[in-house]
Amino acid sequence: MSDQATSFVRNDMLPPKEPPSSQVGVVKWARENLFGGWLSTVLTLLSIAAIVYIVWHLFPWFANGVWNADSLTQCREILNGATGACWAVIRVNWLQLVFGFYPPELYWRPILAFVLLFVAIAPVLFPSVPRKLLWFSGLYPFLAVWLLWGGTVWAPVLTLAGFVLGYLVLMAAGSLGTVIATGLTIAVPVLFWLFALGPLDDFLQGVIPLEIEPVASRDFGGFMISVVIGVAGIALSLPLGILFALGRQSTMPIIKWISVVFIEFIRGVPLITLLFTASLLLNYFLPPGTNFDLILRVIIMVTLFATAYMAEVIRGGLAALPKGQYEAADALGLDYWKAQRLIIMPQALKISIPGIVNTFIGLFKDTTLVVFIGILDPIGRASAIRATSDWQGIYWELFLFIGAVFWIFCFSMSRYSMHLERRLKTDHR
Amino acid sequence: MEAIAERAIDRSQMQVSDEIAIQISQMNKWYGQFHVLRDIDLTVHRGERIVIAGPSGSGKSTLIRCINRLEEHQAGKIVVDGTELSSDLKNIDKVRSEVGMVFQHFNLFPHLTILENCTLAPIWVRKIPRKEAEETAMHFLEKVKIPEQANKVSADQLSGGQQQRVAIARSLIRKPQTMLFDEPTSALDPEMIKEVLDTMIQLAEEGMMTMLCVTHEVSCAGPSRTG
Amino acid sequence: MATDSGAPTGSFRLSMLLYDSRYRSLTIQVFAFFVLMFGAAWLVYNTKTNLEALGKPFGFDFLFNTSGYDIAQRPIEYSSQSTHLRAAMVGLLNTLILAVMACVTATVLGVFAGVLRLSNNWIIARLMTIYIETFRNVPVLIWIIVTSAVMSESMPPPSAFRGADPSASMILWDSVAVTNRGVYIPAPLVEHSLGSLNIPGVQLSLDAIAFLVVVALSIWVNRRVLAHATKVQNATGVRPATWWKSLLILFLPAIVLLYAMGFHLEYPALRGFNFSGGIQMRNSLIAMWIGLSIYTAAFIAEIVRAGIMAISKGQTEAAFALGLQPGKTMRLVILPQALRVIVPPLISQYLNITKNTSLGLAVGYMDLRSTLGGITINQTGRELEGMLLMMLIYLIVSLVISTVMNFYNDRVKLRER
Repeated sequence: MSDQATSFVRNDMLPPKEPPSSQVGVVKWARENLFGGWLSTVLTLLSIAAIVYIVWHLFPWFANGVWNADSLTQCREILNGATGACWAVIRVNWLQLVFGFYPPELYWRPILAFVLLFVAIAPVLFPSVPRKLLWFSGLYPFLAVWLLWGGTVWAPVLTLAGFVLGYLVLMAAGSLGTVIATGLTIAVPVLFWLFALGPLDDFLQGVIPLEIEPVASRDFGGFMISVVIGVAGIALSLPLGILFALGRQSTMPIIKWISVVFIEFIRGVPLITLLFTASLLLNYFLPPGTNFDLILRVIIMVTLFATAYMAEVIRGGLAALPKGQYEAADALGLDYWKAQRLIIMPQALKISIPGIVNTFIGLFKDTTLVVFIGILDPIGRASAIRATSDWQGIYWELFLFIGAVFWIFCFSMSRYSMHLERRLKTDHR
Repeated sequence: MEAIAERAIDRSQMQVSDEIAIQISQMNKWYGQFHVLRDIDLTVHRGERIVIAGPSGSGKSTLIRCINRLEEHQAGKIVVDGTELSSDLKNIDKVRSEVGMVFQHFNLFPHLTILENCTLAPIWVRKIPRKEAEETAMHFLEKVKIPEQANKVSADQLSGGQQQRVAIARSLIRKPQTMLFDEPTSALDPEMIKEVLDTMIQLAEEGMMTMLCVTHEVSCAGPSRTG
Repeated sequence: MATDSGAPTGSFRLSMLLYDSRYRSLTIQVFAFFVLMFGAAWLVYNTKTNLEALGKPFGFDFLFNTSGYDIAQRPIEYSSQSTHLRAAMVGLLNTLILAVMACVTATVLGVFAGVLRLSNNWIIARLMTIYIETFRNVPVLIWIIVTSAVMSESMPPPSAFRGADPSASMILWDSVAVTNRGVYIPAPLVEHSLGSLNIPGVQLSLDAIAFLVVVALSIWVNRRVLAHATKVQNATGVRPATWWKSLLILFLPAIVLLYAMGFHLEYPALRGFNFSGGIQMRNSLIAMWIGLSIYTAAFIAEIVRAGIMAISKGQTEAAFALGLQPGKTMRLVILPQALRVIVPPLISQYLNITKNTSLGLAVGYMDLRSTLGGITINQTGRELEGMLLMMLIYLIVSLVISTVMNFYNDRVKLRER
């Protein structure tokens, strides 16, 4: 019995062995991932059957596609009874689907604006891009408006000057206290825009005429209009959304209730009713004789719409900040706006970027609704094309094309937002 | 709280001037119906180092948070360096610029580097040129013995003890007359507590700064007596 | 003697309006209030001036005029002789019918897709990923229009069902006919009807009411039985078997009632060149329903997936380690926690569906927007009143949905603690 008391010590390592053959390779993978139980097996077989069925029916349609034809009838003649897509409709009309009736010789302007858009948002989206580029991001909206609509350069420059003026006033009036400084910062630029912008514009245009060919809003269309409305809506709604998010968190009851009512009202009604308000009712609400651009009206409404959603996203970001951050900012003696600008917003916005991107994806898809008020966005263009005698009866090809373009935009943005969420998770513990 | 505050305040005999730094008289505070602070009277002379100890929930933190008006008191009087804390915002700004505060959970700003955490207030509140502010900040970071960490991007990369020392440096750089410590060691691992306490003791030994420390740990109260 | 620290030592000075925390928030609020009032007054004044210039009065009397237009899908009695108000009610009902249908199917589809996407089966998980990513990244309007186009251009006309050797046939044991004019489904009918309740303006079928009452009663009794079972379990430790009692209580009374009323289905049948009998679900309804469902289901799938993933693996492991079986683990540990994560975003998806029903315009579905906000406005020229009323109704519907759902959400939360 005493032998059993001796402990066992292994002195040399056993050599590793191969796992049983059922545990490796394709067989194992298939067993685990495709046939792990009867339910899984049934699902696998059903899926394979579905894939085979779809490919079997769709492949010839894609493969037989006709690219060179002038009308659906011609397509059908070429196909001669076989199934096949008539891609010719895209080849003939794609420029219209992208640009609407924008003058073809000026296509370079929207293209340039689109490319510069990426330069402008790069410093916001990617932390590795030099901060200096943020200057360009600030200038970009004015540049883009000028490139797209053309006309005199002085209107956007003077609008920008209003913002610069506001900043200067803020710097100069800083010592007068938060309330007075805030009031002046809002009042001075507004007065400047209302009363000085028009005459100054005329004057400068008279002295130094800098002008490119103007393009009317009614010539805008296709994907260009979707991008313009989407980007303008999101860019304008961000600052407004911040204000309403702060308003909703305010301890002042009136400010809080104004924000809550605004946000809940906008979120409670469909976007389409707001768009109809823009096209039908805005003229009622404004002084008699005011009549401005439909696209501008739509951008205003889309902005209000996005503002409410943006405010909720940012409110989520604010709520995620620990209370200690506010207290530490207070204890250091920062006033409300400085605390917001230096401490709270940089963190809250960073947390909110995935939500902001998702809001943008939603907004971008929602721009398709402008077709209901007569703006020729891609769907509007597609309907117009389908109404012509040449292409009557075609729909799959057009909607596939439009859907694919939307998909590429939205999918890449949603991937980016997921990537951000992952990065945020690692950033914060 | 009234009884506790009187009992627990440890008036250590050190270089204390006759000047009064903080004068609290008949101060009361309620949270809704709950009467947290009842008739508090406290006079702190310049250069005095005081530890306020007591069980958790007794209102210690609330008391020192009232001193730079992170909390509002409802009755009584608080005068800090001759400025009475009332609803007057200018007075509040003035008091906050004279009083430094260190929090239990450090409350460093995670989106800024260590150096930026320290220079934020000098640049934006005191309007000191960046260069000068950075030099001062480095000086104080050296004092709390972490100059080499100055350009770490996120405060989260530091240990708890290091974070708290940065928080102390962040307050010191404003050269406050008074420092408030709100449970500075209770969120720390035991082995980190000492480095923070050492920093505080060093501060106490150096000058005429008024220090108020709230804690429920005796380990904090012990060394301060020797300072 | 506690002096009020808030009381200023001196008298009131004007600068205190800005530099005193008590007065400053008041100053700001009064200012904001005046700006708001001024803005509102400005808008009202402009509107009044504009209306006067156009010679239009402001009022809702037009709602009581004869509408003069037809609505194809009318859940309540309506003809072109009815009032605009009646037309708006038909529209609202159509909106609600569509919203409820789409919410139900989207939830079912979404839960399936979300759960399957987490499945261990590689191929089905990939397929679901493709489904979700395809549908949620393309505007819902495109899905609606495409569905509509498929329905009207690819489905057989009713005439294809005719003859000895028809090119198309009905599905589901000859009960449902899918045609390019819509889908015909069997209609539920009763032989011994209880009649109907006539409240002015609305006609309520007593049969339907009786059925709903019986179902509600059954559910209530079933809950009592379950509560009793819990009580027994708490007292004795053994939970009595309830599944057969539940089945009996939930289904038997309803079946008995239906049998007593002589419930039967009326199948659609081909008469001449069209189907008659049964219920015709028009293309517009089908397109909206399918379009909204498949689009929103992709979002719900992601919500469900996120909800399940949010429950850490540790929870399952802990439950298993305590000896709970997988079914009980799901019911007692995972689901209560997952629901708490899932319900709030699910509510906002239901709200989205309800708001997106307003896209019915694209395929000619006569919802609230197409009746009150469309034809009525065009015929009467009363855009302002019509739009305001319509926004108000949408707002009320949204608020009701979010209130009901939040109430449910609070209960889920409470049960959690």
